Amino acid sequence: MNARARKRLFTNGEEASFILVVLIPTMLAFLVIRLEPIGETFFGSFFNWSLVDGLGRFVGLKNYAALFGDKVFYAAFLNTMSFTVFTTFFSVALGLLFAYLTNRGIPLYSLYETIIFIPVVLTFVPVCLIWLWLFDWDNGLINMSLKALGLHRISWLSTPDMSMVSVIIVSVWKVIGYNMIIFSVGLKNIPRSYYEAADMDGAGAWTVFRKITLPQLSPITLFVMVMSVINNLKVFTQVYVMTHGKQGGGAQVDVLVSDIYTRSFVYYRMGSASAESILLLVVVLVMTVLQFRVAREEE
Amino acid sequence: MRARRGPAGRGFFGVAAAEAVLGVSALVIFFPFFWMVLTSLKSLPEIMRVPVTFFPQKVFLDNYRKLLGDPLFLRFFLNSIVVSVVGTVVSTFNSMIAGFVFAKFRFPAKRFLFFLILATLMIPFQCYMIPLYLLCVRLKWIDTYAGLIFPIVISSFGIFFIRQNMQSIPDSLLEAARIDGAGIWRIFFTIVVPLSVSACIVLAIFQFMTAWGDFIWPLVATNSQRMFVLELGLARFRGQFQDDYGLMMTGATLGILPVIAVFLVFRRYIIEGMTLSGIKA
Repeated sequence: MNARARKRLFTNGEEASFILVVLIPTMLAFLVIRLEPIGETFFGSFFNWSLVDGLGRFVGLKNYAALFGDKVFYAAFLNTMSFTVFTTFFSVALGLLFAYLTNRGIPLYSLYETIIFIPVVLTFVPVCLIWLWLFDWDNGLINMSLKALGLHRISWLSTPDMSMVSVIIVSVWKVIGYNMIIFSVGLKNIPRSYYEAADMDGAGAWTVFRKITLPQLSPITLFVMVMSVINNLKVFTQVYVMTHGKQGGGAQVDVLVSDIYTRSFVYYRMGSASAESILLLVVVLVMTVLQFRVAREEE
Repeated sequence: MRARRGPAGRGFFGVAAAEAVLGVSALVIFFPFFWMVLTSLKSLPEIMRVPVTFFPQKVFLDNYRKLLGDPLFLRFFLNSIVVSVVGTVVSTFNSMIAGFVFAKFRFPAKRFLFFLILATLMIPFQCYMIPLYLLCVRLKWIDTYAGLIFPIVISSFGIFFIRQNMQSIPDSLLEAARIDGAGIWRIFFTIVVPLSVSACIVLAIFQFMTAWGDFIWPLVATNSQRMFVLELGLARFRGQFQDDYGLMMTGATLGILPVIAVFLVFRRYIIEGMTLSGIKA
């Protein structure tokens, strides 16, 4: 490294004052609105406290132990996991399918790409309103169509299980375009010569896909899946808007973040909510580390 | 002429079949927006009619009049704009200068400080919002713009992204300007910023979209409707107008159409910004 030998660009005084002027406010901000709150959450997870009394009694690991015996937490955890598994699977599979198809050199591919990408740029709340209307029991377009076809209507939002299915449908619809674009980049980077060689050998389409496309894409696939899993573990808005706070029943679905929200901002059980936050953090970090491992192996 | 890009012509589907599958999928994916706009143009009795009418029999604009004439609804828009614009400007500017410092200077504890910033990159916001909320309460920032904006004035991703970008600026350019007697700020604004303008735009768009779509922090940090951002205001539609889907779809249309318009104009930057970040909220 000859970085050390590099000539200094600036006189020491001017350089130092610039660095200080930039970094002091920046690092202070990181300290106050990132590092300290993260530390406080960790610390707070060992205390029994509420909004009013501030940090109360030290309870060690009791908050964590209580969570593991808590039915609501258990349900929220399982819901988060099944949401993550299904949403990841369908959005990755469909994203790959659409990327594959738009890369076949068909006319209008860029129009299709643009349309499929639109839901990605939208925010969740208006999107949820649209789907609530499509899923409506009496007048929703989906049930009307089912009835017109002589099929049974589906109660999309009145049992917890179906609510989960509905939330997954909306979430998959919203994110397919994102996965598609990433896969598209990956597909374009596969050397054409591989395909030409396979063509000469007379390999069938399925064989080419399985033996060339999929293995060549595998780093991208892993990246998309891990990203997807991390994002899905943090699911909140669509679950909250579509299944919470509806007057007159409905089927509320709890996920980890909504449970954290309820514990802290509805019941003010800050210790318990902090413990759950730390558990979520651990799960997300494990996935992140996994991704770095994978990325490093690729290099 | 087949297969201008990507895998050669051979595939599971002929080109026609690929076209058909994509065409139908794109229609299905797009249809909810179409239905949203159609519903927003119908009167409530027509919406509730069985069997359903497809196009509005009579174009009904009362919902639009009602929402666009409602000061509270306009206020939601204003709040969203203030929060997103201020948050984006501050965090993008901060990322630019801090990214510059980490890319082009040597100083003590540089690696450690950069590590601290990166370490927070992977930590979900939801995991530390409770102390942030308590801080907000102590500062009496609940229901204020300050309270809505302060968590987004810095961005670890932004600093990281800009630093990566600025590392490719040759030192010789900066040295040349230095020899001409320019100060550091001047070099930053006249040389460094113009050279990283596209990274800056990509980052700004990403920050803006993240701020615009943020839901959980405004939900926590505001109580009074006057301070709701658009996302919160729209979410309350569900309880407020229970079954008035016409009004709900009008609100959704007003919230969505500007975003689609902006997307179509800045398509390239937006796709780039969203894909290379990989950390959508």
